[in-house]
Amino acid sequence: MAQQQDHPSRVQATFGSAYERMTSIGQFVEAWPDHASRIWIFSSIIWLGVVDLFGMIIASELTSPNLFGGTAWLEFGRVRPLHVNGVIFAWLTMMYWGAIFYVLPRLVGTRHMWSERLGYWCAWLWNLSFLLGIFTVMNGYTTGSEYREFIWPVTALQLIVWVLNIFNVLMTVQMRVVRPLYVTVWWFIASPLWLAADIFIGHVMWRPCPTAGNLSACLAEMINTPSGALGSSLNDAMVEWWMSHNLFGLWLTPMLIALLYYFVPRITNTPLYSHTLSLISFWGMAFFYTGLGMHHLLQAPIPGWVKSISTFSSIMLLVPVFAFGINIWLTMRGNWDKFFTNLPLRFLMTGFIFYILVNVQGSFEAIQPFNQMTHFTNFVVAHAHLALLGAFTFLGMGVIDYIIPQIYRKPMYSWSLTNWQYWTITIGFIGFFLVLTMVGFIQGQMWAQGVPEVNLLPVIHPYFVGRAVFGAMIVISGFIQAYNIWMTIRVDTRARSRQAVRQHMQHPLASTVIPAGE
Amino acid sequence: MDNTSNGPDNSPANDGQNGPPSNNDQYNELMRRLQYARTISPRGWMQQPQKKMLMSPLMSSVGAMIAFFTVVFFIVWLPENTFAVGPSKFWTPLSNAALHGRQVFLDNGCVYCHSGFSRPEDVATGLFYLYPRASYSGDYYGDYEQSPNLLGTERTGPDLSQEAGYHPNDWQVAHYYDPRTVEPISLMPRFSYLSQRDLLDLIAFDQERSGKDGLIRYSIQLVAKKLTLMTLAGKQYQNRTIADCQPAGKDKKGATVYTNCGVQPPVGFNGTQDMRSYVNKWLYVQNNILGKYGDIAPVAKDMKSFGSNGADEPDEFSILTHDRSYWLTNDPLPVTQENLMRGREIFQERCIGCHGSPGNGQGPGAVFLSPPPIDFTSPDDACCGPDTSPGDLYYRILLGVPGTGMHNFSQQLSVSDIWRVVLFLKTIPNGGLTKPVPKVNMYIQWKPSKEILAFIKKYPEQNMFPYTQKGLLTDPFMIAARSILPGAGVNEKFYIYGQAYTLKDVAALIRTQYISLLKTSYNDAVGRHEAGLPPFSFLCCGRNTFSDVLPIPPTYFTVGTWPSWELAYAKKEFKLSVPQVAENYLNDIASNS
Repeated sequence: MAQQQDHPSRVQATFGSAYERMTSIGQFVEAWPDHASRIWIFSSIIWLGVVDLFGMIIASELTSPNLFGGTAWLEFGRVRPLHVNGVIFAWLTMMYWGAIFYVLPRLVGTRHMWSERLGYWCAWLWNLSFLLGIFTVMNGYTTGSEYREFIWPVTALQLIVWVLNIFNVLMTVQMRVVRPLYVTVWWFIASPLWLAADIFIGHVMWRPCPTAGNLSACLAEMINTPSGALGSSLNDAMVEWWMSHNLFGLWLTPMLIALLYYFVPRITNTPLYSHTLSLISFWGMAFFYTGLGMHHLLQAPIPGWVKSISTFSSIMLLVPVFAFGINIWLTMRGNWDKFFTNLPLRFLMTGFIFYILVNVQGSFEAIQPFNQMTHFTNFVVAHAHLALLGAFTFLGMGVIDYIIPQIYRKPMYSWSLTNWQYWTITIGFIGFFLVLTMVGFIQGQMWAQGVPEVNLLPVIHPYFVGRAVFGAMIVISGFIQAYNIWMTIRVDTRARSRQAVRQHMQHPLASTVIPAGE
Repeated sequence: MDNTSNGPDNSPANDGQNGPPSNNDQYNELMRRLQYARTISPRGWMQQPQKKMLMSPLMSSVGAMIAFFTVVFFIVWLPENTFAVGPSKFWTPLSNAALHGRQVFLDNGCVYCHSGFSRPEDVATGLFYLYPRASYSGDYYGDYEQSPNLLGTERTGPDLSQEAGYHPNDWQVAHYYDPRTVEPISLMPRFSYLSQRDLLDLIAFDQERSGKDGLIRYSIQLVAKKLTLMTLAGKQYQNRTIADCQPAGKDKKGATVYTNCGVQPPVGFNGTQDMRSYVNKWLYVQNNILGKYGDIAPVAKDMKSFGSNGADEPDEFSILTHDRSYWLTNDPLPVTQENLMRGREIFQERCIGCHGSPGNGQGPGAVFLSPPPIDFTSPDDACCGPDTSPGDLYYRILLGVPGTGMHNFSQQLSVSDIWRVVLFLKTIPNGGLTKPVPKVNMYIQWKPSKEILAFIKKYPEQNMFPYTQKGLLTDPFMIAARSILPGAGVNEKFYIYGQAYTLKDVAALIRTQYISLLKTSYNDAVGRHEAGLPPFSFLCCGRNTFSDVLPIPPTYFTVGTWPSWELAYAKKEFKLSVPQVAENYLNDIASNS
């Protein structure tokens, strides 16, 4: 049949010459055990709920500060780092590793990761490290540096897990069947390596206890006092912000790119538009994203040339971002009907659109005059949520909603619930973003006119209430997903689905739409 | 296309999951899309990327890391190894207590809402009270004690790099216990869970983090508090000098105990010492503008003492009096329903934390404050009765009262709004807060005494700007002393139980206090073996003052910074020439009688 002749060659263009060998295995979906992937994905779903609740706590505290009556471990300054670190390292990172452990064997043609068992135990170690992080920060043991609050021992544990994961990935690539590396695999190799170096340098891991002489004093110091920071305050700030922004630039963004490069062609059954563009985006990111972190300090008394490099890098970043954006956009050309019919793809592409927006926004924020108006305001908070919630969380939800049916070879328990999940988080997030952006402009403009911060608190209070309400929608969305996936695993959705498809196909107006992920 | 081979298939073998699409329309649609996809697909070698665009694992790992470290060299290694700034002229080391307080600050995530550097544009845009100067690189000198950084990224609350000395310690205690007690609109969490030591060290950090100018402001607060408490003290302390009022050690809870002051300032969250008994006395002193209550505070018994030394300035002065540029003014705004309502709105938004919702000076914050807040409800007291001029109240709200919890509202309320609050305050004894709406007829008119009217007649041209017209002070400690004794001339005396003091004496007190703070910090830093510690002579006291090493505008040293626009605004909007208002009043009386 014509369709069967077309199909493999088109996929071959995307996934390499071994595709036919792979398909000849037969029911190859069953060949992947995905042990490691599952545990990372499940953890991430649970952490999403937890970190959303952290966010909800601090959003509520900003509307009624005496809500918890001065409970130490629920104090804003202790929960906020848990929200920030949790979103990045618990929710998104675990989701990403789950996706890597799912995607990588399929791209390199192996049946599984080099060691599924290692990946499995790494997931538990990672969970443990984050539980330790929550415990320590809630009890006031923190480095006190934004985006790197966890004390040295916790970070060290995370770094160990990280290196083990890198080893797993490299060994899997080493034993690959498909020799050419698809673009996604480039990112899978490079991005964790970058982040390991980034965290090692940024957390000043070689300096766990700056002053203590012996081991016990050193232990006390790395828990109780500033550890993992450079001595001079401004130098420390430069390292901190270089490191922090690279969490986005060298880990979250590359993984978004890598996963979109895999899932968009996979779901739309279309080859990636251009590999030249993907090459440009890879090396562009490597060179420009690494150098822009100090744009967080454009107003601070640090050397001017560092600010210049950061601003330059921030603007030049648009080149690889648009190379990537054009690539995905043109891959989607002719496939936009799937955006409306395929829910995982809808999540992914919504995340993609938010990603392009956040990059354009971020580049402009790094320009000095614009930065003067927005720095210190909630505009930056809105920007951060556009990235972490709009882009990466949407992507993560799409990835999970795609992967879980694949791993379990079942359709979702309810695509209708997924639809609810999509709309609650979309409306919740857009409202959240707009409210915070407005607050940011109010703050920036009023400060510029000499109105002190405290006078604005009654002004922005209704906006903060709005933020909490929209934030609640986001929390609900995460719980809808968790419930949906829990039920997908528990209930035999396959039988239900067969019946549904049969009825669907018999319908005279039946279209090509198949309700499952593919 | 061969449609016949793809007929509808409902056989059990085809369950709709595998195999080709079983529907003709579906198949045609798929084919149409495939055709379309082919027309837009990339051409040539791009369809076979693996032939041209190889990225080996080595390239993706080692190559990517080389790219990474190339950038790291320029953006991290280079600045880290070339950017080393020495201490700025403002820099001071932290004491051990403050260093521990810094850690408490970090542990509780204060930095997420309070940034740690003020920008040039903050200074330029008029937030002068909050941000008297921009932060310099050298302010962050110091290896261990400045690590990790506190620059911060957000300002939900104000930047704290210049916070030191703007609030006295007891205000800080109340604010940490529950920020709403002293700032009802605050969003800050409660820190009532902090231990006594953590709390006091955190406050020490707040008061030491701004460098030298901050330490001077802090010294002003300490000395002003001391003078105030001395004045408040009973007659048994009549023969004490200011120097006797000293910290005498710590009680078992770790709180500082003062002796010979007469009043123990409550410290810590357990400091529930009842200050009620001092309220009236405090009011008594505060109202002692012209020595009407001479048995308590030592001021002129009659108007003769003013100008008795032959100069234009009175030679005796209450320590709690105020700049004389406003004390003879009436409210420039008309007493209208709207103004009173607005005044009450602001009062309920900003003032009730300390002054209480009935205005009785017993708000939730009052228990921490020493001296306690004013009671506005009594019409007998000069506070809100006909004796006190509205300008007096205006001035206190505008610039605050050093040494007390009353802080500077000059940047937080507009000039008009402060005057409206003053209008409203004058209705409180008649039920401005208890009645549903403050009425115009509740307003208590200012009725200056004969002595004041005589004084106005005698000195029609009072000085508006003490800083310029009474002799421009250059010594920072003299300027600091004048923020405690606003409007005091250089040779003027004030008395505390018979002891005469001049501005210079207060300046010397502040200087002693400042040097002692500086020495404590420096000795602590020496004890910590800090690397790169400059000699003490770098920090202080090359000459009698340190103005030689600190060539900055004198306004940095005053707690009650007078915003430069305030008087211009008042003149423009209200046509307000200060003594003129009183003179007009005088003329009115003359014409009516």
